[in-house]
Amino acid sequence: MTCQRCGQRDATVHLVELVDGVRKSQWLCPVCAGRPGDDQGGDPWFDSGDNGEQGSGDEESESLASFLGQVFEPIDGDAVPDLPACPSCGYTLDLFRRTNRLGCPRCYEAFRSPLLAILSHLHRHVSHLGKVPGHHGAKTSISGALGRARVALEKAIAAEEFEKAARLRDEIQRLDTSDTPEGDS
Amino acid sequence: MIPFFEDFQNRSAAWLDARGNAGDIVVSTRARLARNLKAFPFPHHASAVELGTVYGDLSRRLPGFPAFSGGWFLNMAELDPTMLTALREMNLASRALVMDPSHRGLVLSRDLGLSGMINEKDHVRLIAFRAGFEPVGALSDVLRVDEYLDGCIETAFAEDLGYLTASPADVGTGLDLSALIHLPGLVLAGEIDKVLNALRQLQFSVRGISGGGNTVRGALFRISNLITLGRDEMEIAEDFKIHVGKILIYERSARDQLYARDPLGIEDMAHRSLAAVRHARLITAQETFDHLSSIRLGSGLGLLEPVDPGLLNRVLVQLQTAHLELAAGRVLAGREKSAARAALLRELFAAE
Repeated sequence: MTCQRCGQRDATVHLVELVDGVRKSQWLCPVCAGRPGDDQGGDPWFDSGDNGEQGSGDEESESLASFLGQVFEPIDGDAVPDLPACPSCGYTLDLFRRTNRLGCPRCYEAFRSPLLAILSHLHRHVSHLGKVPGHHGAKTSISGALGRARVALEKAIAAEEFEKAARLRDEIQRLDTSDTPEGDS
Repeated sequence: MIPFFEDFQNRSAAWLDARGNAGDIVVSTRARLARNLKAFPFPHHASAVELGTVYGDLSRRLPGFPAFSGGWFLNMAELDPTMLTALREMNLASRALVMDPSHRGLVLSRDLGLSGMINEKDHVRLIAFRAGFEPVGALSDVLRVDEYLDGCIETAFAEDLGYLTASPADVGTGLDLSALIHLPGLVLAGEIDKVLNALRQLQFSVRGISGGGNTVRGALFRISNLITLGRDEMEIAEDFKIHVGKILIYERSARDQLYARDPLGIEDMAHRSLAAVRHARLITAQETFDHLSSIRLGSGLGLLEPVDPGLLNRVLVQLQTAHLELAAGRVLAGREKSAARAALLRELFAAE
């Protein structure tokens, strides 16, 4: 049998991974399995099947990369035809689709609307709630409250608690006008 | 010679030595934070000059964190392929860090419990390891390094999306919590898929590698959180603790039931495995993982004479190719690896 990844060398390594709950089995040559020699894979840290070609790198599972890909497809078919390249680094949406990575921090603004859809799929939320770096200090408490209210709103809507959602919406508006950080709409 | 690789045989991570919380099941817990500099493209899209600038900046500042003094700073470009692979085997460097080593760096605390990868997928990834099951402890360790870093760099951060990372999968807190877990009871009982699927439903990623057939190699799994946005760091850690903690309960009960059903069978398996690592002359890594798993299980159930749990952890790293090659002082071909591995195991597991 030839290697299912390079299609050239003999496959001697049977790699089985659990990807999104599905057992994925591949026969690979020792090179593609990440390790030459007599050892069948030989790496206990779960990344020997990843040759890095898809930019999915180390233990950050292929499943995640494939998931990102899936999430992207419907959006692609939908309505975001071609956003212009990131003005800061020249990265394009097409490159993102292929690598699952962005070019620079400013890409988050350049590709904001498709990214928000992806983020809500990946994380089920689109508002940061955690720690804020030091030099943002002054805004910490407000944006923390704002983030919390937004997440609560998402939860209320998901649970169809519309009265609560309306209350939260008003609170968000109040917080938002008391502090309008740039980039917050 | 690079100082870190002098006396390499005795260089072991503190988080592999100690018997940590739930150490009968959890080898180690890792917390990782992804951080980027605001003004630069992410490493995979940066020019050599940009990478060099980021590298220069971070390699000057990061080692200033107190816990890194007395530790090591490694310039990846100065290491040979065996050394790079050895760092991967120790789980200190990722594939992204060693694939193209120029302008890549790794800073390590003396006990290897804290580290920072420079120009990995993100400009910097801070990592804390703890022995055993310690999600909250590992998180607090890594946050301390992050606070220090906050004071030295201008971080890529947005009010609404949090820390901006090369992959949207990490955005928000940038926190990846993971645990390396040994689940032989659930594997032998045939319950593993059910349990791991439940974890996936709860948005955890689970990775395991199997060698042929339906057996999972060494019954070792890495479980990590997928959600990084919309929860704060402590919430992520508590959530991890609760859900992964349930797996530990299932595993213990699976072990007890297995033993109750077939004590002689389990005892036989453990003793055969101990005999194999004590006497084999040629042994592959895959085979070794399985034997170590049985020994760990047998030792946990009290069926074998006590085996140092730190040894069982350390040997998972030492049995790998680059470690064997560094010990031998040369590159080993095919069968030589199996022979070197068998010799190492005979020495480590020698009967009193």
